[in-house]
Amino acid sequence: MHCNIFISTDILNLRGKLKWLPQLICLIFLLAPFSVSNACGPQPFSFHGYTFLNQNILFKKDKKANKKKAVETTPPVVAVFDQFYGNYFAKNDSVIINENIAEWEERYCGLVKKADLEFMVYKSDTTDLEILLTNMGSKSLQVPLRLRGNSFAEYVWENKCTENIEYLIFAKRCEVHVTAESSWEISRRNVPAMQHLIKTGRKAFNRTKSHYMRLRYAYQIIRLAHYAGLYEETLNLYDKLLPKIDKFESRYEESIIPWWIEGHRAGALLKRKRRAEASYLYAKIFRFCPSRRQSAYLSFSIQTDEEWADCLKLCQSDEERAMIYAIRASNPKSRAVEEMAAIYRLDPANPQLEPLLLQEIRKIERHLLGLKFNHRRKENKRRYGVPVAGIENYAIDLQEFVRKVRSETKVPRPNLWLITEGYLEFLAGDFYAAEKTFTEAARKVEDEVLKEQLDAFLLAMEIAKFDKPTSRVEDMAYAIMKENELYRRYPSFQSYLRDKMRYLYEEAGQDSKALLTYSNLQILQVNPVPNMVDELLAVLQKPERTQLERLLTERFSVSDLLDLKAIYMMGEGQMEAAAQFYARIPATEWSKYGEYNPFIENFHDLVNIDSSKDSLTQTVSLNRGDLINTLLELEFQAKGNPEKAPIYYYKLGLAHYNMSYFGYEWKAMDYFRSGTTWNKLDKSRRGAYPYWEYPLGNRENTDVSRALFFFEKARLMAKTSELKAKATFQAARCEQKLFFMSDLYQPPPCCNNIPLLPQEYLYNFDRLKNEFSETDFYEWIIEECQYFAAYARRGRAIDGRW
Amino acid sequence: MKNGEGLITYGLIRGKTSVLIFFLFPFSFFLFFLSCNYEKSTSAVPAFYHWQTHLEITPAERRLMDLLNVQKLYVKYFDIDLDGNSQPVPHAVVDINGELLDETVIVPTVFITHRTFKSISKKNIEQLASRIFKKINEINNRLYPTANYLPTEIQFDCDWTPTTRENYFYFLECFNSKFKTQNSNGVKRHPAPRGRELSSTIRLHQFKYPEQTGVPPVDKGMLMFYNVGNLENWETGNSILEMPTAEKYLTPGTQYPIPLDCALPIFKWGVVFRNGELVYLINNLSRNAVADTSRFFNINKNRYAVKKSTYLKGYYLYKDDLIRLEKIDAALLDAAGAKLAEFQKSIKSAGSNTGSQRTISFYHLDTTTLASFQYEDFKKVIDRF
Repeated sequence: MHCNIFISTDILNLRGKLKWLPQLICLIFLLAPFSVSNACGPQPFSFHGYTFLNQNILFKKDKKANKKKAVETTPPVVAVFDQFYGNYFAKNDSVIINENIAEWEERYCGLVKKADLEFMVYKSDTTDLEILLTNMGSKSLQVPLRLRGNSFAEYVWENKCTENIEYLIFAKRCEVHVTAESSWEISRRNVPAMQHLIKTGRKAFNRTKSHYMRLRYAYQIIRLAHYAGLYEETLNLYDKLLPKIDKFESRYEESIIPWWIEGHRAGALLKRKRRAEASYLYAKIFRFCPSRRQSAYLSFSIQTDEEWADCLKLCQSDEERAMIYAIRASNPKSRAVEEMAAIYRLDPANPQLEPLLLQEIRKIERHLLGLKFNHRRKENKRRYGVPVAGIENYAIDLQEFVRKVRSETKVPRPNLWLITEGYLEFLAGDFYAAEKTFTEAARKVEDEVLKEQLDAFLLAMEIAKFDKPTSRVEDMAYAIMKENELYRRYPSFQSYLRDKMRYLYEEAGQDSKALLTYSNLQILQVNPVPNMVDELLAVLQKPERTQLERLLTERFSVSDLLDLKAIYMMGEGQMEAAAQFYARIPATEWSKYGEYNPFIENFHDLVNIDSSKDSLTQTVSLNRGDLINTLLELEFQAKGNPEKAPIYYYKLGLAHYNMSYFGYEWKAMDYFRSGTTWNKLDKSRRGAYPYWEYPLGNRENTDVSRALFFFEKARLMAKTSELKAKATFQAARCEQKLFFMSDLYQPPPCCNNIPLLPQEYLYNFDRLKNEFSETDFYEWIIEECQYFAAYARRGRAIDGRW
Repeated sequence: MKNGEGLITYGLIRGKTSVLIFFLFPFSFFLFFLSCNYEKSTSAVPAFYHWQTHLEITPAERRLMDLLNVQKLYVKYFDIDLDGNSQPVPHAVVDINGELLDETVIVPTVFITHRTFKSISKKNIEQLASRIFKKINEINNRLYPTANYLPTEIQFDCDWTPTTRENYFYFLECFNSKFKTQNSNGVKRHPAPRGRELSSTIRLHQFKYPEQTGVPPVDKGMLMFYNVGNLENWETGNSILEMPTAEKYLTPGTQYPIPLDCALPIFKWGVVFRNGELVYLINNLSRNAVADTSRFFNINKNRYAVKKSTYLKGYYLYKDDLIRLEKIDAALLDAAGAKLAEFQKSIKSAGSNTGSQRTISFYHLDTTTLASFQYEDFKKVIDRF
């Protein structure tokens, strides 16, 4: 599975800047390109597409620091939904903890260690804190032993900060009621106990002098009310407690706690169906509070046009209005050009526009990029509905908007809009307009990342413009693969170029070259389609091959192809032709293609036997070239030597049967044999059977008519009844296999029963029983071969079938 | 080849069959008449599905249930789906106010997403079965705090496919062994309590092609006679139920190895298309909701276009979005009932009925949904079975 992520090391360097971290995390998972192509591996039905968008274009280069930074601090709302969910549960807790501890640390002016704070806030138990509190009230008692060495405990003990410890004890008592439970457990929330804690908390709030601690108490109390389902009380508590907190003294504006409080207030508002107010608050939380960003986004909920209008009215600035438009636009199912236009009207420089633009282009790219030559376009349509019918119209709408934006030059980076305008034109198939726009962009764009993006778009268009697989196009494709840096940096180029060349070759009828763009010679070894092998031979023997042709054919030789041709001819029973092809292979290479002995006399349908030496003629294993010549020689000698002809013909019959799909030496005429072919013997088209792994199918040598011919000759010319009997039995085997290949054959639905043979395939079984039942061979074979025994026992049925 | 045995067996069977048929033919007639008489003496058990997260029977719903003598309610207790860590967890747990439930028998029903079973280990399947059993018991214990109640039937709903079949069926086996042998506290009982049935929903394609999809290892199935059309195609008339399409799944004489109850649809929804692609299903969407001509344009009978971008039932629709309203009216419900009743009779003689009464359940109980039907509409359908 490829995942096209283009995160440059420059961006990763930004990790040092803590203030950017939340935005950066958000950006990485929101904008990491979705997996457009899962073509590799055993996932034959995953979506296959391409993308050339580089999210780095959302980062502007800081020339002084030589680093990139996001265009603005406002987080982009754009979300890839499944990734969004995926990250929400996994990472949000740690963001909350880090943010909280950072604030505690900052309030203690960095005088206490972060780890000590984390221990006290999240890991210590109430007893530890109660002992510490008691000891703080005594002049003689020290920091409790368990907390000794903890810089936070020592600091509060030293400075007698009792309010802080009292607060932490209260917070820990609240925790059991408000922490997330496992979904499998029944809710532990105890509303009366929570109400009691709210009362206790309010008393503590009133007596606490520190306004920062009051702020934290207010958070705990409001959260308890919210989680207890006391929504009206949540809102009342907010109204009552917040005014009692001095904003200056609590440094309210700098704290994250007010946003946490607002989150619970928004939740209560939502439950009271005050959705406009709740959504407005959620939009603000999204904007300002990284730890609550994801939950705020998910909770944003507007149900009616009136609520939307009310929500807009609540916004204090165009930036806030733009934010709620952006949240709505980030829905993966949106037609965000409408919201983008609204944001643009409100605030042309709004930082949400660029991420939204990329989101929308990506939608169009998924449907239209390389549509004509994507070799999985049928599966994409069937399984993913891609492309949808209305996508072209939407592309035009987006194009018009982009054109307007870039021509009005009110946005901070009109050149980004200019190059995306060209890309949209290209996606819509208007190469002329795209070229013009890209040419204009090339003159104007200075930013390096944008330049690279422009070059990537230009390269995609250059490939798309290839129209015939000429030498020039092949040279260009080769140069791209070998020399173009972008080809390596943008992973989609590999499949994009490959699919394009495959399409061009197929259109031009150059099927073998098309095959080599995505596979190798193995497909032809499994089914050596003659014209494809010839085509490759012609390519390999061309005086001036193109570089791409050299690359495609670098893993095999002329000899390999001649061997394939010879194999094909053997399967067709044309031994002379096979010998001619083999004669063109240097004799020194003959041994490369294996050694075989198909002459062993064998009466069992087994594909694995010891074939090192045969008992009949003591022939040793031969390479394929010698084997072909031996077969020809045997046939020649049989014609000229009537004495020995029966045994030669018998031997030829054995060889042809044993080299067939049904014989042990099938490798002599084939590179691949599938056991599953047995179930579909009658389903071949010119010898090739469908096989999931090989698009050209699997050619099996299932035709044993030539073997039958030789066995018949052997029987007719044999002088002894024993040889006649053997030849008859072997011929009967051939007839049985030919029946399996015929249209008459219906595979039995179950039970692996011996199939019934119609009369026209029973001549030799009949003959063996009727003419040779007195032979030793008959006696032996009826014991040895169960199916023959079964045929012999049952006699002939009334309908002429066994 | 060692196939002689098979051939001989084949011959023997062929020979003996004719003898057997000779003797059994009159007896089979007797069985046939016996089954016909039995059919007439049974009547269907009417039921409803409840598929929302808050169950509180309204007085109007109670009245209808009483009139129809509905004493059985399939209540979706929760959904099971994967969380962010790819772990199966319950979602949308039902909150039950039992006030007007009276004596109604609750059949806890759990919907499990197909993806839950896509890549789950055997060990996790066993754990999932235990957790679901425990969770169902917890909900029951809240509903019946003093009864130590264990339902007589539990149903699972999962649109399993050949790729998830093995895992789903293994899950059912694991769950069944608990359900049949343990009490509500998860303690094994000796002897095992009787009369408990595990059921699974069976979609029409699963019913039609049991060789490909398999038959779930449960006591009975609930044949869902709806969702037959291609929802994602704008040209489809009514994906919930179109009789010509649905009938294709019902080949007379079909045998199914387990007894089948039937579920009939009574719901409606709006199917929203954007740029030619299905984007939302809006439940309970009626003509009234799209009657505002300043926002919607009626293309023809049940098809609308959005004239101006607008919110509709919480969904933001853009200008040019298309809406197809789909619903079941009384006439269609009756036609479906008639067809299914006729078909059910043809499969009963296949020996797939255990003799327990067949349940006819309507999907689903909701005041808005029920408003489209009269009491008589349901009565007519129930009487057909």
